[in-house]
Amino acid sequence: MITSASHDRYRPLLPLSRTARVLSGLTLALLIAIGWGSASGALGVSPWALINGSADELSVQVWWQLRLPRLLLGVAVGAMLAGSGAAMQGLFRNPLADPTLLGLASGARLFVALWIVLFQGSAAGSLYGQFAAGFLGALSVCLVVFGIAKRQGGGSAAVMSLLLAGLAINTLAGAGGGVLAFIASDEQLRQLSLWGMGTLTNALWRTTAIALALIAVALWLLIRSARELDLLQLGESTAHAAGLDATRLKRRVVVATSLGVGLCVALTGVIGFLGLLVPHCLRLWLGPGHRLLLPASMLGGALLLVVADTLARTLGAPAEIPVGLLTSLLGGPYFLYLLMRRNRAC
Amino acid sequence: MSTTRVARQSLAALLVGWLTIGGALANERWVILGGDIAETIAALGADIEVVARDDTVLHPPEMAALPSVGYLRQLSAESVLSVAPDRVLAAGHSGPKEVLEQLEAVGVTVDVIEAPADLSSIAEKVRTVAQHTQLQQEGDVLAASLSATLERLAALPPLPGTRAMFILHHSGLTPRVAGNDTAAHTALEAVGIDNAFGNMAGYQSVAAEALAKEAPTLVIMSQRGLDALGGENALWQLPGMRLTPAGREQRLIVIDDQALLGFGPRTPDQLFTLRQNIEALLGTEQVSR
Repeated sequence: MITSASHDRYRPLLPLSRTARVLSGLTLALLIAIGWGSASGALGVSPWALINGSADELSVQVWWQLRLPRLLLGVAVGAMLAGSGAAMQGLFRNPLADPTLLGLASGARLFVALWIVLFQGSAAGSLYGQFAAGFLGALSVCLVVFGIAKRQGGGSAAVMSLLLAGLAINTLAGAGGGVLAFIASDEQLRQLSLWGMGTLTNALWRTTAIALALIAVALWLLIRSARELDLLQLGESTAHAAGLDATRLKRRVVVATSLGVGLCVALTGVIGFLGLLVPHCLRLWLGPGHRLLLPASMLGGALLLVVADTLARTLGAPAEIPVGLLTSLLGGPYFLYLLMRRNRAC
Repeated sequence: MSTTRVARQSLAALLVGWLTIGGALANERWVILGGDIAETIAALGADIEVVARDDTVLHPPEMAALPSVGYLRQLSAESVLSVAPDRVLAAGHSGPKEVLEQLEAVGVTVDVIEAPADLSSIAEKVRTVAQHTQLQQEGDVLAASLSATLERLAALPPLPGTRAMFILHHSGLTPRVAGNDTAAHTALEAVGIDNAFGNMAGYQSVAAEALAKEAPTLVIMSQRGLDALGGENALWQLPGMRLTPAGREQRLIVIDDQALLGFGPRTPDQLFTLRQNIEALLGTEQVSR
């Protein structure tokens, strides 16, 4: 009996591969979170009443017009931020790379702010212009950071200069934002302040639909890069010998990340630390293989953001806590812990 | 068809229409967003059921006592919906716009009253609010009287050589001085005095030396601002204040900022009060010399 029990422990409950089990587990958790999120809010909407059709008109409308687009936007943005965090960490071969830390998000934010101040009110100042501005901002920061990483080669010097570059870009973008706030009109200032802390409160069907489509493309580009990112971990020369076209891989990851992060920032502002936190936890649990890590990070990011946003909507109801504040409060201490652990290891 | 019959029929139709409209308005739950809109509703004496307001509604007290759905510029759709409104009457700068769009998508009637922040728009704002609350007549009367007050104000002679500075202060921030393109600047111009910092745009922190250079003869502040600063003594202790005529003579006028700068129905009267206060302050000054 005892032997067979200890033997059974190593046998999976279901005849599925580890990848399939992890991914289906995360998907299930995400669906539960979506269910919870769709039932909670300042207004009580019972999911059971929605299903059996006894819900009143207002509840149905609230659920369909407010909750659903917001939940879907949360899923897309969470998946994008965490997925791009995982991909960047693989690309830079550096566990501290993340869209916010490297300055990608603040670059996108600065460009969106520029866009608002320069073009607001004109036809060019539309939502699509805002998307494009976010993308260009994230892309240009990506290229700068990438140039620095390339010049420094591998090793700890590169890690240090990447972090310093991110710090410099974040500082510069902060100062640029200050200058813009100084010259902006009252109306523009109001709009700028909405990007202060990330929030999903502006989710409308028409913006969410665009976001879902574009983010799906970006995520697909990242997932397609998983095998090559694994190869890259062997070092660039070994990977090259194994037939990896590193330049093409970098280009694809950079474009996908900039597109996705720029879009997220244009729609929701900067939601911090999701890209750092989620891939880290999952790498500790699942190991470094990107074929599992990338999709798991996307699911995990979506899960975390949906949960955080539901808390943001309900903890202080009827007021809303900006969800970026919650994720940063969670991510900040974790980041400090990581740094302290790294120092002890050195 | 006899005339009496037509008359009777149209009277009946009118009565039915009036009853349905009157009944609809009375049964509707309103949310008012914007201090100026709330004051206009109060000034019109509109008989509607207001169930909630936003943080900028501070007057009248009955309206300020209602539950708040948050800050006018950072609304959330679910907070507004939590009071189950039928209609939302919102000032033009309410937002984000997406939230108003969300409210409409859910079936709430949202009326936005776009009005530029200047004195000439007050009468128009009153008429628009009156239309939404079906008080056109009352609206016309009120708008006409407000316009008349503003015209009388405009006819007053300017007060030459009087340079005022308006200080905005919220707790936790450094005091900021009003330049042009601000409600305070508009108010100063309307009462016939110069804004000492009229060549600067928006609300800015200014250096002690700039105070000495622009040499304002009097300071205008709200009671709330003065309290946040720590009282009148703290005001005269601000760097550079002693280098100005206003600081040396300690000339201060305290105003009701909500009434003066909100560009609502109370604004014209407040402007008159401000003008009288300035004249009184400067007048006693001349006598004592």
